Amino acid sequence: MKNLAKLMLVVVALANAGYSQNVNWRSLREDQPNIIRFNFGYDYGVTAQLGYNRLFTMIRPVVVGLDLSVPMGNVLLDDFKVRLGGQMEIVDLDGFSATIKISSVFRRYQTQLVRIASFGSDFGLVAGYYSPSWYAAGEFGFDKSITSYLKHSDVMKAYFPGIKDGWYIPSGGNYYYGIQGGKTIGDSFDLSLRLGATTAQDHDENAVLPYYAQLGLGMRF
Amino acid sequence: MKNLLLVFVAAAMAAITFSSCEILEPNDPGLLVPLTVDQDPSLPSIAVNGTQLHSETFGNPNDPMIVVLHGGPGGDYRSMLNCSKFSADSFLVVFYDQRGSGLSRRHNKEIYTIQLFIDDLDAVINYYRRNPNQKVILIGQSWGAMLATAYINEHPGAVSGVVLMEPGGLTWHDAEEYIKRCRSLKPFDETSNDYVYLDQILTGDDHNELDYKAALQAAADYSKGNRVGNPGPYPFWRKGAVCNSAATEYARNHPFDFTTNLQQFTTNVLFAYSQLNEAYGKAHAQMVSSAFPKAQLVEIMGTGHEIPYFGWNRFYAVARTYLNTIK
Repeated sequence: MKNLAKLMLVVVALANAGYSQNVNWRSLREDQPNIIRFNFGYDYGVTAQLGYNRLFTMIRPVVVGLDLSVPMGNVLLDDFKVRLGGQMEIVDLDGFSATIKISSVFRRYQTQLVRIASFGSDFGLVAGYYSPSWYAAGEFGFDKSITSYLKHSDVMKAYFPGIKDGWYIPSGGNYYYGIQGGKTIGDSFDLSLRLGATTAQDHDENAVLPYYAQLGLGMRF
Repeated sequence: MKNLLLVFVAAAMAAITFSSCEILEPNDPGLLVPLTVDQDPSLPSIAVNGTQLHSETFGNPNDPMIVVLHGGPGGDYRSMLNCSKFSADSFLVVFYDQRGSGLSRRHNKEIYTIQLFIDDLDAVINYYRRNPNQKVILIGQSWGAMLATAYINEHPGAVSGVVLMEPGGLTWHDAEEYIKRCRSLKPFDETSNDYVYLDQILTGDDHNELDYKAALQAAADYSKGNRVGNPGPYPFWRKGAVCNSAATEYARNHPFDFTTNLQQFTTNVLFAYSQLNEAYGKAHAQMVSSAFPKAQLVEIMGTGHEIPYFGWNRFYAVARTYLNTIK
């Protein structure tokens, strides 16, 4: 029963549709439904992030997309994060806007000791003032690594033969809170900045560097 | 509707995948880190100073005693087991994992002080010492060398000889500077990013989770390009994460100076530093060792910080000569 509950949690997380990059709803246009964005900064490591997003207008505008981020280093793609999801504006009142963001997150991590494949989710709320040429907002969210498959290397197994590979739940989670802002440049470009801090869930130990900072450039077409 | 169907199919596939697997909990003892002496009675241990330490000895119990002190705080003596070979030179070699480290019993962070580590060492010596005339020699590596010095500073007449391998510093100021040189994060470096990237995947407040995470992050000490000159992994049992963070925090809040009484220790000290540790070097070794009235400085060639593991043959030759003068 306990395992079933955990399993359901994983399924729910995988079923989330989400996206977590910055969007200025007031600068979006129906004739430019595609957005490509490049972000660079610190997000649990110095990372570069590339994403593709598409604007849909249903009852309200929704942006869905996929992005890949990789940390710097001389081994490409041994560590990376893929997010699939979307965000939707839920409040639009005299320039004030509130947005919910929901994403499914897949993370991979590898060193000499272990290879980790981790599934999780990212829920966030962004609220602030948005005009067609700029925006400023605050954000709060929870980035949860729900379950991780740990596969240990021969070195690790030699040091601890009893170590057990497998799916582990729960594995980790961090709250994040900060500010973000953006400026529209010309007809098609958006420059954005996110700054903030993280706090580990419950009484868990915080990250070594519990901050994030991302500079982004988006192009609409 | 089409998207909803895709999500449903993905969820169903995930359910099939996961339902065939056993789901494990990282804080269950023995899954990700070994059991400690209080959890596994088959491990050799001693009960001293209100704790239970993983400990073993090699050699004749009546021979001059060498107590081996590992690094950390929070490391263990597994990578120093080469030192057991001194038993063939007629020494009793005593190993123990310090409080909260390796396979010794864990404690919560509130109890850790520098004095506690000194008192534990004193208790271990008294546990194994057969008579007051039995000589005591300390061999310490990194933090273990700092602990050996702290003990001598407090009991300058109790030790007949000491071998120190790259103590970070004998004052908190010097130690902190050394730690910064060893562990400075470089923005575009694989090792640095491996160290911090894990924080989004594994978080925890349980000893097992924290120890496991510390073991993974310790890979920075031997990853390619590490500053301390380790060519690869070296064996360990368990990284005592709580011990490490609590002792470091204590030292930061209560800066130590282990040199205040060293002038009373007139015995020759063998002070070894490694050729490949870029963060240490001859200048730092000279500065740190100058606190002793009499120190023999020696560079161990072809090794980094983990001298007893990667530089054993060269170290053994030098240390054996020194130890025979003490015996």
